[in-house]
Amino acid sequence: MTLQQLINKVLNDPAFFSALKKDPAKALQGTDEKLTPEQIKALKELNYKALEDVGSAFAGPSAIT
Amino acid sequence: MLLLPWWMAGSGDRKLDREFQSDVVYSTLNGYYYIRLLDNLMDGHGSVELALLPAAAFFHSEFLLTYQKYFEANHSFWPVFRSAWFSSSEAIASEESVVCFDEDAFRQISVQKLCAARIPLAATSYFYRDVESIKPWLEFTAALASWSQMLDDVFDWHRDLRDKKDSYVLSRARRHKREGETVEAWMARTGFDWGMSVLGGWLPELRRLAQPLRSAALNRYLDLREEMLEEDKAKLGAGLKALVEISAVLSSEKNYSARPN
Repeated sequence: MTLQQLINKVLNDPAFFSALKKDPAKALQGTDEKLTPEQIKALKELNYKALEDVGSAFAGPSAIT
Repeated sequence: MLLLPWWMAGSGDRKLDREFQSDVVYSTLNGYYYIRLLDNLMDGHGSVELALLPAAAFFHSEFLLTYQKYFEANHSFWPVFRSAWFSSSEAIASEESVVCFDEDAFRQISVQKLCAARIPLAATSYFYRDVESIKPWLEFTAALASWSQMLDDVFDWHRDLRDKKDSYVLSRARRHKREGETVEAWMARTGFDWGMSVLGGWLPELRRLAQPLRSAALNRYLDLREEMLEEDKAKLGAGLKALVEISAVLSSEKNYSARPN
């Protein structure tokens, strides 16, 4: 999965990251990602809370000054 | 922008005329809705704006007629009004024709876009017979216009990209992204940090221009903006870093070595 696809996920499908944190292998079922145990461990340890802020800042209503 | 004439009127020890200030707020709101209506239609953010377009006559009339209570037809206020109002419309149109922004073009267009803010400021200075104050307030307003537009561009980058609207930030992304890299990836990797550092770098200039204006409220506003910027920088920077890390984990060598060639 590319960075562009991940950004589109964070803006349009934030639930994907809850699933990725909980069970990376299951969340990536149906994609061509085959995870090693090291990758699963690394994915579980990332800062998922910060991703919610990215979604609401860049996908929410337009900033008007 | 709504608060600038209020802060200008209240700078120093001046006693405010509440009726005049209320009228300025009313006029400015109508002017704002008029510009917003046209701007949303022009940049593709519109949803109901086309159906509301006839209301532009109301917004324009109320914006203009409020000042007729205070200034005769031959008053020096009106040439300022005409010049600022025409430049504002020209800016809305010219932004659409810009295909690639550099910093000079960005500053010029952002200042022009908010030049309608000169109208309530000029009205305030003429009303209180303090015409000398207009120049430093306009200089500050121009710098604030660029800063505010940059803030919009940094936070609206994804909506602008989706709506195929160019901006200074997106032009920068297209020029500086690596070969094969997408605009989205550049924004996550480095673009957001770049935008935030530009915004932080322009703040001292705003503070310098605010100093002679003797407005405590304006300085509090700048303090608040600086705090919000720091907060967003930390919060969103961490989120974008997490995305880059997920991407790195998923594209790591081990991942690819597990796949058949």
